[in-house]
Amino acid sequence: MTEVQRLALPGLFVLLVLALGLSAYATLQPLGGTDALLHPHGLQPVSSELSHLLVTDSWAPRLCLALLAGAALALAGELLQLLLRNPLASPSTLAINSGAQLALLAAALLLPALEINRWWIALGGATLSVSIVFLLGWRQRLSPLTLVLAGLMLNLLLSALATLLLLFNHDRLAGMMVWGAGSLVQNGWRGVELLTPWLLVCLLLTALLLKPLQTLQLGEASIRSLGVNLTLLRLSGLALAVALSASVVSCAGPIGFVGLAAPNAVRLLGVRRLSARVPLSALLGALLLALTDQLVQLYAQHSALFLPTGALSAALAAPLLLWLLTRLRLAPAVETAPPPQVHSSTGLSPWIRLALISGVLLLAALLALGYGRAGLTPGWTWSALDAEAILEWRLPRTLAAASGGGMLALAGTLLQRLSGNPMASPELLGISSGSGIALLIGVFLLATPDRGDLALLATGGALAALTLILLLNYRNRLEPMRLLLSGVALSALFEALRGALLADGDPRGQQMLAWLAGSTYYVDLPLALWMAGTSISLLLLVLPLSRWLDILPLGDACSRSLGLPLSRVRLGILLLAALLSALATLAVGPFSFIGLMAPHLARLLGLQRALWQLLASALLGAGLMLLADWGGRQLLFPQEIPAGLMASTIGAVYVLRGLARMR
Amino acid sequence: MRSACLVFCLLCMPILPAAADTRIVALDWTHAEILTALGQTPLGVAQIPAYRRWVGAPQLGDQVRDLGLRAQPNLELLSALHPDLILTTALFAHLESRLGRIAPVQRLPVYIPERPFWPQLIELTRHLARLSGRQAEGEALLAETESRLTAIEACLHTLSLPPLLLVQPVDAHHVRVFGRHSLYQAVLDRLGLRNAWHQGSNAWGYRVVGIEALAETHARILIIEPVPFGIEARLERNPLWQYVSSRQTLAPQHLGAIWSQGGPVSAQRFAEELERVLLPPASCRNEDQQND
Repeated sequence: MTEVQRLALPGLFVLLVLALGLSAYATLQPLGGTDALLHPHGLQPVSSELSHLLVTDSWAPRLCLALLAGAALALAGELLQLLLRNPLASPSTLAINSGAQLALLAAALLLPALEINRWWIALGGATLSVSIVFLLGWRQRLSPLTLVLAGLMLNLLLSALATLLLLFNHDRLAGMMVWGAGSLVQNGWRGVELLTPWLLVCLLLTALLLKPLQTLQLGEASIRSLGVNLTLLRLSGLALAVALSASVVSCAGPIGFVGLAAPNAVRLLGVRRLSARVPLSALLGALLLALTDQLVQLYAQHSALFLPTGALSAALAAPLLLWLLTRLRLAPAVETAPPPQVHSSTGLSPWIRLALISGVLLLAALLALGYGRAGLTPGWTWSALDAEAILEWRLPRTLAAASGGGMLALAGTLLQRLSGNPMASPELLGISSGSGIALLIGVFLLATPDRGDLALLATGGALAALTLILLLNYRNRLEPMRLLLSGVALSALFEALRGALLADGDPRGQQMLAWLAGSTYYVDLPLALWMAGTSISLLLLVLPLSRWLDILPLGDACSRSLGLPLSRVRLGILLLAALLSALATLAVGPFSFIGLMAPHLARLLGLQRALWQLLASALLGAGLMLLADWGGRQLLFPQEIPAGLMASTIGAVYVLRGLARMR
Repeated sequence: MRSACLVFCLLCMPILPAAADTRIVALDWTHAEILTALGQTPLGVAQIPAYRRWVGAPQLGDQVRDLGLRAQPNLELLSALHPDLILTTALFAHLESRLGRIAPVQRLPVYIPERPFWPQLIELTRHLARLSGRQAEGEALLAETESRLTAIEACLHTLSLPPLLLVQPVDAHHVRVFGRHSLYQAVLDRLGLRNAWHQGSNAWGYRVVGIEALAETHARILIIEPVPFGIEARLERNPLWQYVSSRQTLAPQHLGAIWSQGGPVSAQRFAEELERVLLPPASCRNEDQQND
């Protein structure tokens, strides 16, 4: 450890303790100051009695819970990072928190009598989701990239399901919106009483496991030769981490950031020995969360807008992740998935394949326009609606869904070809999240935004996200791991913002939720025609680039030697991809994963050259989104599941399945 | 009094032209409530299960179609119903252009905050009665409400009652407190009762506050259903809630589910619920029942 590092750690702790003390003093003031803490019966018995009660039963347990929860989350994060040798593992990135949250939401709706045993429900949900993540990563020997990717996809899938529950049960679940965004508000010491035993037990068990855990830093052969049962060790460490996170979620809702920040900070400050790292991370985590919570309280005292602690912590996690990306040296393990096997020699010419795909698209369109539950007759029928009604109600939505899907598919193909990484897509790179963030902020700030404003906002957000990603990955030539993690960070920010706005209870918030989930409800014929026209013209713009797109995956040297103006071409393609995904977000929301699925499917169908892949993925993307829109409208008739939500559920399952099959 | 009204209506009916049965769709629950009370069953209402939980009465028959979410009524279903009129409020203004393609749309604001509540209630009921061609039923409904409220007011007038605090728990730490711009306040004013909450409310008549905000009040706390499952038990364990309720003269009591933006039927039900909880058993309430 260098001199600076030696001083940095204690310096950081002193700073945090001072900051915590100051902010705690500040939040205590409106409640009556330290007098309220010390003297229950002051000059005015009634109000001082209340102040004392507020301090002892609201302020104090909140502070204690923040400290305990912070320690628990940091400990869980430390265990996970140690077990997986992955600096980016934490309860939130491995979908532990979202599993617990979804389980609690579902239980509140479907089995309200079980409300009393929240802890067990949370634990069950967390265990299930982390098992899925682990099963997916198992074949890849739990490689960091696979786990983070699986965690990200599962997070998005579970979040989509939670959104679905919230959309259709808004009045019943309104009470859980605040908790669902991560809230440490306490009345009484019950939360503290519930968390303390678990934290102590887990600390004890961790202390017992310390020696074996230290061996994890050696290679596998060494570990085995020392007589440590690796599987058992991993399982017990994992069980501890899951128990800790589930406890925190059942008391306070999902809180990110701490489980990621504290262990990394301790490691970056040069502490090496595990026996020092564990207590120091726990301490740092406690201080960080307590400080965050105090800041939230101070903010609440001066502003009417509601800001839950979880939202602030998630919002802090995003820049932290991005910063970590620039600092950490990530293990250059096998990351890129090999392209799937292609049956290329079946003899069908690309034209025929394209014609077949178009035929399927037409069939899907007919289905979407004509079949389903409509009108007053129960059951599924070919529509009794006449042509005029179809033109009015179904055609705009179908057209908008198809255009949005096509544009996303094009963006995905461009990105995948540009980076040579089959996991690249607007959603995973955070471009869509950027549009989503810009739209959320814009709609809440502007009084009545019209379509032009929204298009500008979406494009601006996409470009901003793109710039950020480029700046961060510029030196690394768009290395896959970092690209994806930028996407993770930006999507976390988006989720935080959305959670905060929903928790506020603003009625506009519910509308926002439906719209950002990708509902085509608000599309009318002029907009649909405009979108169709734009998508076709952009497709025509992109097709001539297919020659470049054929050359780019061959590598930089090859491209340059063939006379390609590399940096300009890259920039141009990225800008096009951003524009395409921004416009698509307006119709179908940010997270539909069509941009990921469609190019893969086009490849699987044997269309590998750029021109064919572009055309085929555009058609496939349009068809997929069309079917998602149709399914969403019919499944829960007369309620409507937004198209983007349907597509993201399908897409997430697709990616998870793909991960499971990867060798 | 009621029989006199009925005779009056019967006499009126031959005079008024018989109105065709207009097919009306009501997206807002207040409109649905008033129309049903007038005998004009709406063709469709949004979120019927939630209506049953939050509004309760008058009950919607099985023939009323569920149109989906209030903010996103199913347009195909709506057009298949072939309504003559669609009623909306300012909250659904963005839907109007779309709805206008199905049937004429009328935007009837439920209650505008700047104007006094009770005259708006009367005006809204009369307007809906005109639209559905049931002016007589409208007047009867209003007269019945008026007489009921007057009777209850007379009963309560004799007692000196503390101010009331109307709350609805949102979760274990927050409650909705009802104040101005809600039906509850209008009925309280009408019955001569005082609301203990003076700190303002939003355009829908309530404010979400932490329980500590209620600590300084001296009032009778009335909890309005529906309460989310499990919240009741957690509230009772909450020391702050225990403190707040212990400082009042009586323990908090429950009122049945009544829509805070309701119409005359909700107003009557609210007044009757208040009568039920506020009056001691042997009182003018029993005499009132004997008179009917």
